[in-house]
Amino acid sequence: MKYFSHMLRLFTCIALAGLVCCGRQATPPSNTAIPQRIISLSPTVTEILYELGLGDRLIADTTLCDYPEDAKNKEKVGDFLSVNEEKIISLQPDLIIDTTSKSHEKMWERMARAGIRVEHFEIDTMDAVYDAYTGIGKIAGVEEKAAGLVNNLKDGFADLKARGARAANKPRVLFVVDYENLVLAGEGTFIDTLLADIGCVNVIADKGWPGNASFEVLISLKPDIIIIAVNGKDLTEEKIKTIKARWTTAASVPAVANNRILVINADTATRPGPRLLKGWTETAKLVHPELFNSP
Amino acid sequence: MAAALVIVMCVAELIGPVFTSPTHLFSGPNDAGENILMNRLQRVLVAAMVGAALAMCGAVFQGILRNPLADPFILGISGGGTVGAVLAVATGAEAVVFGFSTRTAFAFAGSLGALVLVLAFSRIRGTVATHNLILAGVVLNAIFSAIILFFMSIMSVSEMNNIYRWLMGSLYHAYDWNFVQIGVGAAMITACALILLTLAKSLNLFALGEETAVQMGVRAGTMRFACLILTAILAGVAVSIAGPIGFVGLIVPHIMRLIVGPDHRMLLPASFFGGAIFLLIADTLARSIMPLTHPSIVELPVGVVTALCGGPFFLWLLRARSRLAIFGK
Repeated sequence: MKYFSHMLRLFTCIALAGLVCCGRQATPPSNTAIPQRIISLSPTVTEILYELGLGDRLIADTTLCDYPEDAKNKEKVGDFLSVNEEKIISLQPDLIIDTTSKSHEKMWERMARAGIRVEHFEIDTMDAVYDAYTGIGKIAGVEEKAAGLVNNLKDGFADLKARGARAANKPRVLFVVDYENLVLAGEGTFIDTLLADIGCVNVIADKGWPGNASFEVLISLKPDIIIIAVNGKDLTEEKIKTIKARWTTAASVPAVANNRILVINADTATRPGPRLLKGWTETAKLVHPELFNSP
Repeated sequence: MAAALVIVMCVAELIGPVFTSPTHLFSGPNDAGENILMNRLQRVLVAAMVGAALAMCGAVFQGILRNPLADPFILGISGGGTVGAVLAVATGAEAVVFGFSTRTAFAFAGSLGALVLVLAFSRIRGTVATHNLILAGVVLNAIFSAIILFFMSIMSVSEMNNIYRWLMGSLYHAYDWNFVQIGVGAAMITACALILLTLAKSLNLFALGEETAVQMGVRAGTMRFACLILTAILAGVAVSIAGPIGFVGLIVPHIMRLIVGPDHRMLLPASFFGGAIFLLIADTLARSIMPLTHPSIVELPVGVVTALCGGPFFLWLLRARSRLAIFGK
């Protein structure tokens, strides 16, 4: 009898453990179902989703997602540093779309364990932006629309490049991403590629995004044009004046002497995404008005 | 020492990531060489000011607190300055106070505010007790860093970049200062330093112990109060320009004590000039080393250089001195 009760207890334990395990084992996400509750963890992804007409399926995004206007009203699950995982799970999404980031890998694993599908796209070059469109379109079942948008963007940039190639003189440009800390766009960045496309030469030979740049070296590089990208919300007349004033002690730089310091909107020009074409068309018009203003 | 400082300033003015002949100094604002040299001159002057102020603070603190670990930061003065700077960035307050940027003004106010707090909390029956002063400073520092972390966690990327640069300590912001502002700063620092120098004799008596000092006619309370106010102004100016640059205030007075001895009448001026020379050399390295060693345009934060160069040098000096001491020197 005693033996029997031991066995009974053992079986109960095994059964309970099995139950717990089964409970843990979430139903595997079916890749065929079209996601209806999407969370975006990047402003670029948010913009692409809206562009693809999926704004109503987006249930939450980050505090950085400020475009289009409607994206601001979505539930916020994170900022540029961290995401609130409990909040994500409580919102019961069926898809999380992120941009590729080493620091998010563990979070993706935890989300997958919670039964939530995670997709991530590397968005740092123009080709990667096209791939993100195609990928998101495929997942969300709007492949044709995505292909159409990609073609539009490709045509637009091809047109920019064709016009840029006609530039008789290619100005040497310094592109400033963060004017306070002098973070610049260097070799290998998508900004470097786009600068070349619109008929400019990047004066920065460093790779990537060098910050804390030496002011003396910048003076000695003598750029013909300085392009400074400033967040849309900071684009006030007064602010632009202070930003330009910083360069007054460098009167020997042709860009300063000829008043060719161009302040542009960082939201459209430096955020790799759908609005990049608009941002760079505007920038190109400022740099080479004769080439880009004609229809 | 003053002559040495002038020589180092001239040499620093000639060294940078871009080689420029000094003849360019007078070739007019449309010459690249002149632009580079004038910008560098701004930076050289500010580096000397900040270094002198920080080291002077350190020497006075170590004397008055009779604590070899004391430096401008132990009383929370730099922490207060940083909180001020963070507040200026976080609230986006855009105002210009006497031609200085909001951040400079906020940082200065923060430094003085921290001093008032630390004095208020360490008063016992009308006098300021040394051990309380240090304890209150440490706790205030902890509170300040919590406030800084709070604001950093709710900031946007670009604002955080800004504060991050500030926290590393950098003379990058020297370019935002014009020569009139540099003149005002230098005058303030020199005035404070001169007044502190008149207190050097009392500081010597302090080193014998507070009671002895009082017996020998030093009014300890007044004396300590004056020293703290003056050093707070010095540290406030330095922190508001360059952020919390570590090691200068701690190491330079010790190095000078090993060289000229503990007499404050020698030690204070030696620290003043020594600090200026030390920070000048460190900043010259910081802005030149990366662009010169490999083709890059990135500058190092000067705090990295002060710690990496100053630390080992201090340790070496300590060893060398103690070995000499064994042989009765």
